[in-house]
Amino acid sequence: MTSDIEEYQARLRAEKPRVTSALAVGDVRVTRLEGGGIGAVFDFEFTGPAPRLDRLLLTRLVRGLVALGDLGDDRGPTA
Amino acid sequence: MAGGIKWDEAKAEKMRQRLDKLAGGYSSAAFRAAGQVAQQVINDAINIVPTVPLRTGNLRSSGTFEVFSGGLTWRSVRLVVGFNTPYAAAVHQGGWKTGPLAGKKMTNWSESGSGPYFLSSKLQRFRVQYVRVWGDKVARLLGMKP
Repeated sequence: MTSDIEEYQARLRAEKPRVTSALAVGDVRVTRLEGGGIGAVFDFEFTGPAPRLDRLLLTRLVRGLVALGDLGDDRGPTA
Repeated sequence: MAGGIKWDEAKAEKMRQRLDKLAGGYSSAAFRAAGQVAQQVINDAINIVPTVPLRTGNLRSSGTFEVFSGGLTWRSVRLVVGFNTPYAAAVHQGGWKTGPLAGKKMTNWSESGSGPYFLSSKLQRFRVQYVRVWGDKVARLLGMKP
């Protein structure tokens, strides 16, 4: 049974390793679940532009770093 | 000590909370979208030929899913969806290859249209659609046009 699943997985990989849509990519495969079940595994990744989200994250990060460190004078802590 | 680094704990915490909120918004969208795909996969397995065989109903009602965060990037999630009765894999493959029932094939299906490969056949047919559904749903939840 396991070999059937492995064979199916190998076939899927050979045919088309990654499935793509306009906004996402995914790896899809069959797997045997613990205890005798049967399952499908999807590894999804969002590839949409999400420009607002990325820009917001970057802005927050930069602002946060600026806010975090007041470096004081440039002689450093041991001067 | 002159100078030195002043660490503003309050500002750091505030920034962390903002980042968590933003990343959490995405994470929440990705998880909810994966749940929707899981429902569709289970429904397709049960309702589209070859359907999940029915005798006691335990196999059909054992449809389950779990979503995991992480992966290679913060935009990734892993969905595991399937049927978790102990004999689900054996039924799916149409028989046993190991154990006391090794070599026994299942041929007497309870309903016409039900039978082996009830899950893998749907992945073969609809995998592009499943990925599209997930991506579109994430986009909608993030306020983007899919």
